[in-house]
Amino acid sequence: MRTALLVDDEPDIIDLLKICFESATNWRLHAASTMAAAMKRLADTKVDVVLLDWNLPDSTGLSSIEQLRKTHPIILMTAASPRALASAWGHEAPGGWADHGVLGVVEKPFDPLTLIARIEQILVSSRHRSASP
Amino acid sequence: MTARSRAVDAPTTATSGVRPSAGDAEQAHQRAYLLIISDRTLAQEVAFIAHDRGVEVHVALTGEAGVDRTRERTFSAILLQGLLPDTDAIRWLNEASVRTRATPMVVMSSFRGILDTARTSFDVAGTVDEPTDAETLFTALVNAEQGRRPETEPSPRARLDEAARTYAATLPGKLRVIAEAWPTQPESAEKLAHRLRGTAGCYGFDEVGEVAGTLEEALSSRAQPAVQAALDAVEHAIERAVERARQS
Repeated sequence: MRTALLVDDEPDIIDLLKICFESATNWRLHAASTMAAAMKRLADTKVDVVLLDWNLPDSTGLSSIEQLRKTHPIILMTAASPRALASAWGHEAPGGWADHGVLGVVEKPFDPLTLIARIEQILVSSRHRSASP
Repeated sequence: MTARSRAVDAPTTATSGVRPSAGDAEQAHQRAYLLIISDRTLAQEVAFIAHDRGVEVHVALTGEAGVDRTRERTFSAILLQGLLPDTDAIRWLNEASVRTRATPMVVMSSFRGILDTARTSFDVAGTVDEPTDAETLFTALVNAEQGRRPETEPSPRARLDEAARTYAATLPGKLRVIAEAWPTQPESAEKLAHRLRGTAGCYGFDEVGEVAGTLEEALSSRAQPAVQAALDAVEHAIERAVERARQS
């Protein structure tokens, strides 16, 4: 059983992901609506991946990532435009997020019925990337 | 001759469906056709078993070849490998679902995400965790063809549909909050429009999400005419979304 922590302040997204994860037999989902709540949860719960929203009430973008990247795999879930993200990463190259310790990006809106498969695909791809010389 | 070519090239007199032959005279004239989409040795073993039991087996080594086979004929059942050389089971199901909707399908994979999605989004008749063996796969195919499905929890699709109806009912209120916030708290209104843009599409209301994006940009520009036009567009899109949700 793997565990994901969703960090998102949008209750509708939390509700949606709960449905997605409850139908998955090998995943458990925790949710936090602020970075402070997320850090508290991470201190006492083993989490395999953090699903991180770009804009949070007490933290945004790279600041959130910096707090998490050394200890937890991160998948960014965001409605931010590719241009806004590229600007944040500091360059236009596709996959610029990888330089910041982010395994992948799930753009909102996403298809809830294929979300878990997408997350697993990102995790597998990142394992392959880290295994290759 | 390899197992694959033997299975593919040697159509046989078969029993109904993919059931093991029991010598039923009435069923003997009916042909059963099994499509295996896999490049694995294990699939060849399944082909051997099915062939020995009187089923005509077609094997496709890639997703593309599998799609071609489904264009050529209908099958009694399909066995689909989770990760194929050129695609994965979810993409394959997405592309082929129109032609294969009525065909009992079994998906095998070591990835729970693929199996869960195949079951919940595409309503496949069976899923098999890997590692597994040929007899287990063949039994799953027989069960799938006979319509025997494992006990399942309430469909996530049904739960999502219900969640979408609930969400749709909240949309007019969300727009009202944005419209009320914008004259005095434009940043707050912009943030709410941004949320709406990201979330509405996740619940299947793509049009609302798209016009909410336009609204977010208009709010960012602080241009009154553009904001008003965008608010109107969102209102109309929400009316359609609510109506659609009501009818579903």
